[in-house]
Amino acid sequence: MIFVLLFAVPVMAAISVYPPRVELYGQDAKQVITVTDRNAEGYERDVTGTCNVPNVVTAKQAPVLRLVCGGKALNVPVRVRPAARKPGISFINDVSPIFTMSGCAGSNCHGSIRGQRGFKLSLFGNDPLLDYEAVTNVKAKRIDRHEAAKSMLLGKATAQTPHGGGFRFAPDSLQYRVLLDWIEQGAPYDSGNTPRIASLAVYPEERLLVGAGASQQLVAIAKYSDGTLRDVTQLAQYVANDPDTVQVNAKGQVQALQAGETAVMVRTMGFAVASRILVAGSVTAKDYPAVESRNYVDEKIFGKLRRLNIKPSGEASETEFLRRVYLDTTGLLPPPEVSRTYLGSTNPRKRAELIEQLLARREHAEVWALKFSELTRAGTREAGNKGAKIVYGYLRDSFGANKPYDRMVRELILSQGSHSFGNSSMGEVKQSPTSFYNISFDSNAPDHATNISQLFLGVRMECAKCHNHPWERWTQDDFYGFAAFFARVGIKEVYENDENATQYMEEGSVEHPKTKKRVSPKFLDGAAIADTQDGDIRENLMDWMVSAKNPYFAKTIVNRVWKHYFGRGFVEEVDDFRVTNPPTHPALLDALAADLIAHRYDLRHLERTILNSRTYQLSAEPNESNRGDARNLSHFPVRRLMAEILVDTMSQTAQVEEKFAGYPPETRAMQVYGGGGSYMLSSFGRLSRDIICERDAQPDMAQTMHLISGSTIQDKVSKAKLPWDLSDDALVDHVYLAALVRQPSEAERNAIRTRIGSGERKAVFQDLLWAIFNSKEFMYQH
Amino acid sequence: MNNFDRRGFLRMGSIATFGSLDWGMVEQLRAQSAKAVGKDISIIHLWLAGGLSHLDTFDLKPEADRKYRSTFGAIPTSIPGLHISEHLPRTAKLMHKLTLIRSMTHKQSAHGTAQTLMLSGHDALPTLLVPSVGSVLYKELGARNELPPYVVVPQPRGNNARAGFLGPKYNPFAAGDPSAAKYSVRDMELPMGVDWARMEGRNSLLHLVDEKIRKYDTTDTFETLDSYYQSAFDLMKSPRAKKAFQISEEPEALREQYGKTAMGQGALLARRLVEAGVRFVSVGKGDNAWDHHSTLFPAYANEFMPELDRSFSALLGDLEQRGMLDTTLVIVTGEFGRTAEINVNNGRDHWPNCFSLVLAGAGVPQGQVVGASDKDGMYVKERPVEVPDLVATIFKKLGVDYEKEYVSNIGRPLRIAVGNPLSFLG
Repeated sequence: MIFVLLFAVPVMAAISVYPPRVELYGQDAKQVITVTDRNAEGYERDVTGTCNVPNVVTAKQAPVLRLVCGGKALNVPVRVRPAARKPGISFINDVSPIFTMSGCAGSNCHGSIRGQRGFKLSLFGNDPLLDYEAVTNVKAKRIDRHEAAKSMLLGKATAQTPHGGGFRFAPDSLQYRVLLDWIEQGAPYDSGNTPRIASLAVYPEERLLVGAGASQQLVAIAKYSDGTLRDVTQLAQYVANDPDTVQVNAKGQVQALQAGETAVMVRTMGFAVASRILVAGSVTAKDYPAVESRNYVDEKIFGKLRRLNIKPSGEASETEFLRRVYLDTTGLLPPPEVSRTYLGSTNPRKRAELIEQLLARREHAEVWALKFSELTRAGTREAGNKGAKIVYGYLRDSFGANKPYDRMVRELILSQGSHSFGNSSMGEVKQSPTSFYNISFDSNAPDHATNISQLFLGVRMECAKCHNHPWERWTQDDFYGFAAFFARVGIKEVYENDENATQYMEEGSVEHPKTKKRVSPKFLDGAAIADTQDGDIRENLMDWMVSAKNPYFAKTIVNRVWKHYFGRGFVEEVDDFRVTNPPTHPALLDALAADLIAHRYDLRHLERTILNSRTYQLSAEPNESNRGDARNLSHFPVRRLMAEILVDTMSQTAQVEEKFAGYPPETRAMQVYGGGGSYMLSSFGRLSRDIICERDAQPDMAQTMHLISGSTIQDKVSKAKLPWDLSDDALVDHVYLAALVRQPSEAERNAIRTRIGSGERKAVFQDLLWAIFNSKEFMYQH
Repeated sequence: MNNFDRRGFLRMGSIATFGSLDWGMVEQLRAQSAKAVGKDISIIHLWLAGGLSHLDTFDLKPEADRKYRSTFGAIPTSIPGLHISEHLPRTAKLMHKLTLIRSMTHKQSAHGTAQTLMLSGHDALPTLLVPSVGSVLYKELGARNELPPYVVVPQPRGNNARAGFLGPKYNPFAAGDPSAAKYSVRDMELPMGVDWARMEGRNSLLHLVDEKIRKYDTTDTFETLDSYYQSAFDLMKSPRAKKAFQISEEPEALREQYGKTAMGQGALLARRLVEAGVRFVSVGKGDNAWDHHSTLFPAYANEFMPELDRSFSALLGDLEQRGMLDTTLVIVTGEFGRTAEINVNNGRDHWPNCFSLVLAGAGVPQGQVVGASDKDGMYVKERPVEVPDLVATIFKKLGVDYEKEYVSNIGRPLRIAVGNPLSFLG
């Protein structure tokens, strides 16, 4: 009803047009425009279809286009400038983009690294010269300069001759016309001074569509090396990251399908940008409840929910909160006596105080130490567990002391010394990150570039190692320039593996695989600098990385911490920041990063901000309004606990410790610093640390069978040291409080009473422990 | 209709919404798809992890210089003019039933990357775990009966042989070492003192505990988890599955024929599993057993080659006798060959540039020798064969659309097989 009231009747509060001024370079140039209406509630919609003129502006409309849309008028300046380009078809600017927009240059087709049937194009048109050579290759006879219309290229693309890739465009299409004209002109390549695309922009960068069927025209404008502009709206390829949320056609028209959120990737001439499209089921309801915000996290989270008309769930109960925050910060359950005290307390600040206590716990530092041991791949290669141990120790002590994150990363990146015994210059200290660079058998500068950019900058450069990145602006030059910072990182090999060490060498260089030239160190998005040989060039890298202006460093750690507490990063995967993979809450990510920098990379401050938010303290129980929401934190997201937490909390509940081969007694799983550890840990996702990757929390058959009949649970169940002296009811209460941090329901209590009545008491409690350890309530964070 | 099928049928309606299917549901989907698949072919891979020396087994160079030459003699085979090692006498008599490729080649000289290539057909990528052939078969073809479609004997090592970005669901099922005394599959039997009646009781308590949390699930996560429990119970209770792993049911004489070794009993178990419905069984000695950097010759002569010779020849004979050879592809290979030069420790080192691989069954031409190495067996002289092409051939044989493209978790697309099928493999 509200939808009808607001939108079916075209009552327009304000309209605007994009681009606000049309600049046409040449008499033939065109510009797609889109007209947006913004109503009093702030909702925007594309009203171009209601206007008095078509949405393609030509030179004829200069100097002013008078737009009348739904009764509102607007004057749009139209300026025609001299054509920047020579007349005729440009291979680089007209022909090559056709291969991308028609799907020929995708990685599954001719853009594949091996090409397809002998015809290889550059991936998404990032190398037009390569495309030109492939198309005009004399032996391959893809074009016929004498009878252009009989060219194999055209025959295949129009499927007039058999083509594995089928029909791409029709003989009466614009693409066909451009290709034909170009061949008829003699199939030339551009001269050296042909302007090249320098950047690409899409409008709108973000748009909320209300209701299925709502649509939005995207407008893509390329800026050229000579400063001229070109409308490439009808030359670009459009792909929705989530095709269930919106569909997008070749003209750049987006249509909402169902509530959700997706990026629409816009790609041409080797460049890609994205428009973030949100689809709400309806506008904010009149009776949308007021939701209290405790800090800026809540303001941003609840602000977006309000816009999407999704109502957040209520606040988590004390038991729910207690269990949640204990598990997330320490990897342990609250001991029953702690739970009783906490639940009995009437202190209004008890949540905040508990958070403060938990963040200071050694176990909290161990959680992060383990995560970072995995991320830094500690203990891989021959350093083995000795190497892992000193790295873990270093990380645990660093997190424990709340060492500023930038300082910790600086120490990691500048690390040198024995992989097994630490850095002797650090005196007696046996905790040092010396095997940080010791990650693979033949680790070299490009490997370090890949790992360090992914780990600390959230940028996946590895694509650019072999080819220019298909979705990002990273080129091989960028990659090898970054790698050059690690050119002098060496690993001193000693026959006794124990003695191996990382050293910063006097010599070392990185060679570009194509040009075979020595590459100078170059910051991502920045300038190249000279490697002076005296001093450590990595210092320069660190200064750049941790500078407040660095767009990646703080956001990456914020995103990782956010994922730790909510199971999903603003950007997901957490280390895949790129224009075409936008965050769910960009402003909040920015605010948290700025706050972290303002607090000198104090991670505990960041965690405190998150944990004290109402957002973190929402109930996991969905309501009717937010059941379908999986990424806006309208309710606390349910997720499976880490393998280590499962093992440790089972041990804790049954009071039966787990033994780990090679580790002293009373070692908890969270303290098992090396890879592997035990069957249960590895089968539940503990990584072997071969590559940097996030753990997979999906179940599998081996896990399930191990839970049902494996030794881990069986051992805890059969040896459980419960307070057997308690009465039946008290013992049931104890088990529920210890394992699930709640009281049993009447049905649960009765089921157990009945069983005790007809069976052996101890066996009944063993069965109960088995059931609890296998339960979703136990295995999942909620 | 078994349990997988029934549940699959009941839940067909929701498949599109959660994309995480159990074995039975995949089966149902396949039944529904009209795509006709030729013969339902299974694969048994005798996996010589560590790297088989081609120069001491299938590609001897009796004329080579002493520093290269195998100490083993060459014996004639059932293909006139073709000689192989004297320590493969049984295999020699079967050569007319096999295809021997003497010109395998790739560039990966470390175990990890070479094994990734051999088991997946893809080069190892820096941050992406590519799925192994068995995992792809599992995903593309689904399960037959209650059995896991992809089994590794004894267990996968590292990240190779695994599902990679396809997700842990498609990981291989580890069968353990069937040559062990009192062999049983890990976690397949209920714990001591727990019978099925008690397990049912536990399970009903579990359902009671789960009641409260169920309403928290908005993404079918819990339903999927339940389906794993059901599948696990089905597997653990299935007489067919239990029987398939009961290698002790085999006649003692046959067990002897295969050899009471890891490879021997593994090959026999593989036959039982394939018979029961498993699609891909990898059989090895565990770890990189074939990595003979030192004292290669006594190890080969006394243990490794007799073990391989017995198990391989017994497997072929057994499959043929049961009429299974037409539908079972047997592949014998390591991840690479070994250096022509014998090192100071009387061993040979890693050598991917040229090595041998043997195939049999499933319509592979019989008595065929493909390609040739140069005089010392260092490089390919004729008809180089690359692993991606071999893998594409295998998928094609099994009716898998090898040109299909997966989109990995990092968004990087990956074709099931990047090579092109080899016409000479039938």
